[in-house]
Amino acid sequence: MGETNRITLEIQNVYKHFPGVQALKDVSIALHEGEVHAVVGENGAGKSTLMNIIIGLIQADRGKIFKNNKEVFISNPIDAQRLGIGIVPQELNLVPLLTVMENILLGMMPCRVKGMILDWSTMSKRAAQVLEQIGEYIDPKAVVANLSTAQQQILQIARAFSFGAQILIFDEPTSSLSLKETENLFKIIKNFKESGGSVFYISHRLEEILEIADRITVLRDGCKVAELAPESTSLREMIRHMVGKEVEEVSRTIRFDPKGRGVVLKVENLTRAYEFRKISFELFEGEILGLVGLVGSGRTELVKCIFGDTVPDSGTVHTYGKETVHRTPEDAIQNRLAYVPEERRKLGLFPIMSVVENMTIPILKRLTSFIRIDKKQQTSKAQEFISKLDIRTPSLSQRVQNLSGGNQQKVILARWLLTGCRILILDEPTRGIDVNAKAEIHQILRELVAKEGISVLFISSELQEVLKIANRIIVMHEGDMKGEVLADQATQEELLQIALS
Amino acid sequence: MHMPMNENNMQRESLTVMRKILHFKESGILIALILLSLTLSVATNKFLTPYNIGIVIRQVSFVAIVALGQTLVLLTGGIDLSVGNMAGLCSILGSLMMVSTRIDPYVCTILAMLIGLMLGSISGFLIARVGLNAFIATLAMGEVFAGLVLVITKGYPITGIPPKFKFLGQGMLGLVPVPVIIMLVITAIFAYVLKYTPYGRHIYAIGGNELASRLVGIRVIRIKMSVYAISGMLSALAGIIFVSRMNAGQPTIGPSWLMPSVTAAIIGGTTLSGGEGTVLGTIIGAIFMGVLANGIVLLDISAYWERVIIGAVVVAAVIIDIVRVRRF
Repeated sequence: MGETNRITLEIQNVYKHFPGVQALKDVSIALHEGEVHAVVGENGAGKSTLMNIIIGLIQADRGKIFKNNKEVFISNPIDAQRLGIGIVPQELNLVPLLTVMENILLGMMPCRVKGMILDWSTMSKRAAQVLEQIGEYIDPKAVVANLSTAQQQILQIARAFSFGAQILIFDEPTSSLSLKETENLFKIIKNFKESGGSVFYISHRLEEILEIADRITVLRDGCKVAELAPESTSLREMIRHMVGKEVEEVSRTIRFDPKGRGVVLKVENLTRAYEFRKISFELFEGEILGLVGLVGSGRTELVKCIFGDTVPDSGTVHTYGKETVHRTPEDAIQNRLAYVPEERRKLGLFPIMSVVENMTIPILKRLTSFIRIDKKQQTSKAQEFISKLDIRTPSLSQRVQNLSGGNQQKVILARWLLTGCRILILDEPTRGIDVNAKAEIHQILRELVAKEGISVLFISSELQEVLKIANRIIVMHEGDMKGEVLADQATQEELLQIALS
Repeated sequence: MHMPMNENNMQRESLTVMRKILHFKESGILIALILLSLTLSVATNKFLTPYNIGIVIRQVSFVAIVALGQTLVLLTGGIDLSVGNMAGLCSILGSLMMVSTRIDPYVCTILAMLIGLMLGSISGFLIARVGLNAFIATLAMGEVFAGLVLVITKGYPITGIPPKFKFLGQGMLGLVPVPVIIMLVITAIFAYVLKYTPYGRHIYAIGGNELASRLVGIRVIRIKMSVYAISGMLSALAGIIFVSRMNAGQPTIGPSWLMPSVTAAIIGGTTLSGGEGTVLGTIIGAIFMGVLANGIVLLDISAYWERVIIGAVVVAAVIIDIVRVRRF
């Protein structure tokens, strides 16, 4: 479809070099009017660098940018705004304690008396106008901190609309949205493109790219390796271009037979006010139990409570056949539980500490003889798991913040395996991680379960992923447990039906 | 298969060691200190004399001892604004004990340090357990301490300190003043603890990411309380050594140590956001500031300029740090 339309933004032969890495090499890409142009690639492929050049956060070393066939120079984000380019970033940058209208019009609030006094009534009207244009109703006077993630994202879109953006960049917009919210977002994007707008769309979720995109550009190691049409391509082909080879995806799980296996974790009627009610389930030794539910289902709150981060109001937890109370995460860890949290950067990593320390931090006391940490043992333990999980890092003393998302996640996984955990709770472990690393993590889990009999509680918003990796799945919705299914018999639709029943 | 890998790794490790020396966090301030000392040695022949160096280093030791405790607090991402008044209050209480009881002055020293430890734990409790902001909690506690000093002393110094107590502040071990030895011993202990013990690494972890620290089983509340307790104890120690040096409990000592304790740590490479910094850097930072103050006196610059210059140096140090980080 896009072929007949005019090119609105064209990037020609762009190069960008960062110390130690050629981030972009001779990349050309054209965005047509009224199209959604997806840019895909593994982490480090150059997607973000390319987008940052377009919105003026960084400048290319070489190459040209044309807007409506006229060469333009974008040297800062304000230039980009003037050219009608807006971005909905992955990490929303809103001011939480200000109101919706202030956030939408931030930086261009209407004023009276020569820009001295804010004109609140005009501001409110304009904000409402913009929101109407998107087709969403949010009270302009509401405080942003009280909004849901999806609503906050809409504000970010509204901000771009407010200066009349013709080109919108979406960076991983759906990674924290529920299915319904995602659909809603797609509706907004479709409306935007029908009104003549153009979209650059970045996502790791390849299925949704096939659904929303009109054109797909694949980047690998800073080079453009393919331009595909969604009608004629497949997931497999996209992944092959992204990775440069065929990726061995783990096959779907075979039926799990609990006969003769012990129950390692038994949760009974666990309740915590406003979070979850009367949750009961059992986790068998060597089993992967999927836990699904839309945002707000209480699944993260549930596992945090099991892990001792919060205290339940009522109900019991049994581990290895004995009733246990985890008052703090420390108790849970001693009881050989482990928790890989959803927000990796905020809750999991120690960004400025080394890879070794990130891996060994829970077991420092165990590595200590008298009062001194045995650094040799520390290093060798870390080294062992670096090769076991194939963690790619230039050195052990590298700060973990310099690793890619997939490798960071593996560091956290290694951290818990080093503790000798028996029950592994994973909360969205593959979010924002590229296909290759994701497949590797799945493979690692399979092996842990099969060879070492570790039990896994696996939370993910990607239903397909859960269906593939889990043996059994429990479904939660708004704090209630809605049902339990065997993974090899269920479909995505069924899971949703159970959730919403 | 494994042998060549190991060799490779060793090479890589030795490369990182080289890099570490180049990017040694303390190297910047150390170079600055050397340059400053060289300049002063050339500019005046009064600087590089044993007598002058002795004075400078002894002066520095008080602030440095306070700054060591401050560094621990800063590493967890907090700040202790009560250090100066804490030193004042504990030194007054210590002197009172020495003057009005028969308790041995060195036992009084330990008692004063225990009082500091206790008062520090109160701040720590308010911050770590109750959840007060460190800035506010320690600022308020500092006011309480300052007020108590005035209530107790009515503004008069406490005299009649036993002569045998002089040794702590005025004595020498060989060529080295006793307070300097105390400073060096504490530095060595802290450097070891921070680098080689779980407690030390947990302090860095909390400063680096407090939420994650809790989720990996670190006793965040206990460790946070402990750093304020240690900071209080060291402030008390510095205060009491100063009593020994002055032969009197001065109600006015202390407040002037707060700013230098923070600046020594900051220009020594500790960040206000926590998780980064070393005690060695702090000591070099403290010495740098001591030499700077000394230089101002020796060069006959009006003493009024001292604070202007120190303020400017702090701004410069922080800018350099930002620029250095950005290069990566």
